[in-house]
Amino acid sequence: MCSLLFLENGMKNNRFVAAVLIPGFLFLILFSVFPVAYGLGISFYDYNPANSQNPFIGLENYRRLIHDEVFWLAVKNTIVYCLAAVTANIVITLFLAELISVLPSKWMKTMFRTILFIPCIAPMVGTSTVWKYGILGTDGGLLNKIAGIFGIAPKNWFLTTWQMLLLIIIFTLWADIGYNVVLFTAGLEGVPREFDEAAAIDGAGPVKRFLWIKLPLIGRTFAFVAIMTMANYFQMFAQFRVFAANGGRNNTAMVLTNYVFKMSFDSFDMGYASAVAAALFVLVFLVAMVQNKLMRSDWSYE
Amino acid sequence: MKKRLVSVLLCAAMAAAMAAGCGSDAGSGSGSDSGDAKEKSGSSDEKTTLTFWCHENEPWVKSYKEMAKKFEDANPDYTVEVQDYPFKVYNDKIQTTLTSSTSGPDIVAVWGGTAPSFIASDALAEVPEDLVKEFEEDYLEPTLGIYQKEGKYYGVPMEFNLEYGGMIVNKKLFGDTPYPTTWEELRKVSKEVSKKNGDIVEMKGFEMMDSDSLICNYLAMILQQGGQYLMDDGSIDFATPEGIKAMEEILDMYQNGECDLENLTSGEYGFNDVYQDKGYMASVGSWGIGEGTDTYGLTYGEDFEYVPVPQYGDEMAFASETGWGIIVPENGANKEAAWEFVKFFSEPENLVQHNIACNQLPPRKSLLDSEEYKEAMPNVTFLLDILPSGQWMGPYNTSDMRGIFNQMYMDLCQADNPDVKGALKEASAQITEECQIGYSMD
Repeated sequence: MCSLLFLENGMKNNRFVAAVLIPGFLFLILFSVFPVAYGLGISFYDYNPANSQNPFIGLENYRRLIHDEVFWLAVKNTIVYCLAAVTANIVITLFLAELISVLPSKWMKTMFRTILFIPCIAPMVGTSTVWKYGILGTDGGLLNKIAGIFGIAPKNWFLTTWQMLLLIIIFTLWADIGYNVVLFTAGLEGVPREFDEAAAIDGAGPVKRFLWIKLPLIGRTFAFVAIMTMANYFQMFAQFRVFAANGGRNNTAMVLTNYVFKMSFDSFDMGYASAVAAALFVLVFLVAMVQNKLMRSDWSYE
Repeated sequence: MKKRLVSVLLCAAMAAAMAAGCGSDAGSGSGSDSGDAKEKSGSSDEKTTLTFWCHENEPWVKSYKEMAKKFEDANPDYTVEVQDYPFKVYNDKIQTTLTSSTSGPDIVAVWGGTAPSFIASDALAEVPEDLVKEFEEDYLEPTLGIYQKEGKYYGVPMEFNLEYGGMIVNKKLFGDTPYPTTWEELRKVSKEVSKKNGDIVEMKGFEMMDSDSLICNYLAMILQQGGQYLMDDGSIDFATPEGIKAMEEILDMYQNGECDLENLTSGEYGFNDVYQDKGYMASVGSWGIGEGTDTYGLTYGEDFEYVPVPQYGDEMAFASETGWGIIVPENGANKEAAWEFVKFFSEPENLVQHNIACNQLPPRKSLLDSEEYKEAMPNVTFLLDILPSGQWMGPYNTSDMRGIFNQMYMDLCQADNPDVKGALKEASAQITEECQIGYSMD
């Protein structure tokens, strides 16, 4: 009798939960799943929404993709950018988070976290524009002014090749490290002090304690940060559009997101742009799966 | 029972909130879009309201509004609502509204360079025959080029777009030195005054290295030598003797330190350097004069002047892309009325006022002798004399064409041993393959 009552209550709870979740799921399907499926569908057409006729061309867009040099260059640049930026991001944010976590007072920790987080909340387009003209500007840009102090002649950074990608990576790090610093700080502060103290008693220095005690114990946080940052960086767009709208010199700063935009709104070839977007989806999915498998953390300190 | 009631109410509330968010007026954020246009392009107080879209430019918007008022006074059955948008999003808005299944704006001002993408679709209404007759009789050829498709017209020119022929000169820097009147004098002045530091030329001589001026001056230099870049089969060939000579001349200007590539990479215009006292001369269309007075607050005649660019070759010739025009979307609710407005706008006595207000050159032959225009625009009158020497740039997407050409030029400038002929050949082939408009003009 009691078990029947228990079962009935459980089923009623499930129904309640299901009912409450329905609007959210509908929203997700309508505004997330459907557009993805629709975009994939468009990739099989020669699609320009202004045209009255958009003929079905099957896999023609994908065949074009395979032979498109700019696409493969964009794939390469995207992968290089993500690997470099994510690696640098994690190293820098871990370092900063550790520094913040050892600060003596709470207000100092809060202050530094806030300072580092401020660029994260500023609009990316705005900060990119400020960097483009104010820092990287050829005439009067801060970088050239600093170079001038050391007797180096001013340089037009927008004529460079791999250097432009490097500058975009540096900008991205400046704009984005705050978020991961906050996450890692929270992760580090969650590590029980006993382990750290025990290691210190055993003679381990601060670097060893960080690498062999704290870092493994924030494995789940690390995995989350790495996966989310990688997925996020694959989709970075604003700074590429501002710094190198046409992909930079010889397309050395062209990435997949910018290429999708260029095909869609410069060339109005939305069918092909959708094919490129589908390729980007596949790439991000594969990377996320690999990361997920590599970073599985099966143990914790609890 | 109570729990079930609560869950049902909660579910209903969330669903209602979602429906409200989805069903809200899409124009609430942007102010005016096809939704609003549809509401307004109906009858209101027995008057038909026409919606006119244009890009954000203070004197231009003012002129459109004055034209709208004039039309309303002459046609009491109509009201014309002018709506302007920032240029950066303007073409996207036009693209979106043309694809809308509901009616959008009735009349749209469009830049000629972007018109092919709209004309290629079936989204535009054909120009009525009476207007087409005027085209054939009174309009200068370069102004019409891009608005044609398969022998029909889909846009009405508002101006003659000319990015060649005149240059802004910094009167303060020149002082008592006379302005150059020949190409040799121009190069001499340019070489004497320019100062280079690294990748920057801190004081520029003759500035023509920006996205508009570079290709327009280059094409003029070819044509003025008696050459041609547009072949009979519609392809482009810059690697002719005249093309190579012209490119070597322009390359020499960079290698000699007379100008840098900053404006090409930043997307800015060369006249800014002249207005900021960082340059002596800059090639620009007549619209650049307004930037000096309105943006920089300079005084024409004291701080700067607009004078002819010295001819490079023996005969005056230049190529021009089609400029701003008016289109009527096929999905407009009031097409007939829209064409009435367009015809009114295009009448010489009305069009000349718009051209004066916007610092534009007139597209009509009959306006080349307009005393009203010459009196109001004495600084650009010399350009009226060269307009008949222009040819249409060609059936190409000129924005993409510029992109390829400018990139080719930047690569040549950066090369240690530039292969001018090879680069021109490659650029010509790429432009012919990628930029040619995908439909026939005739």
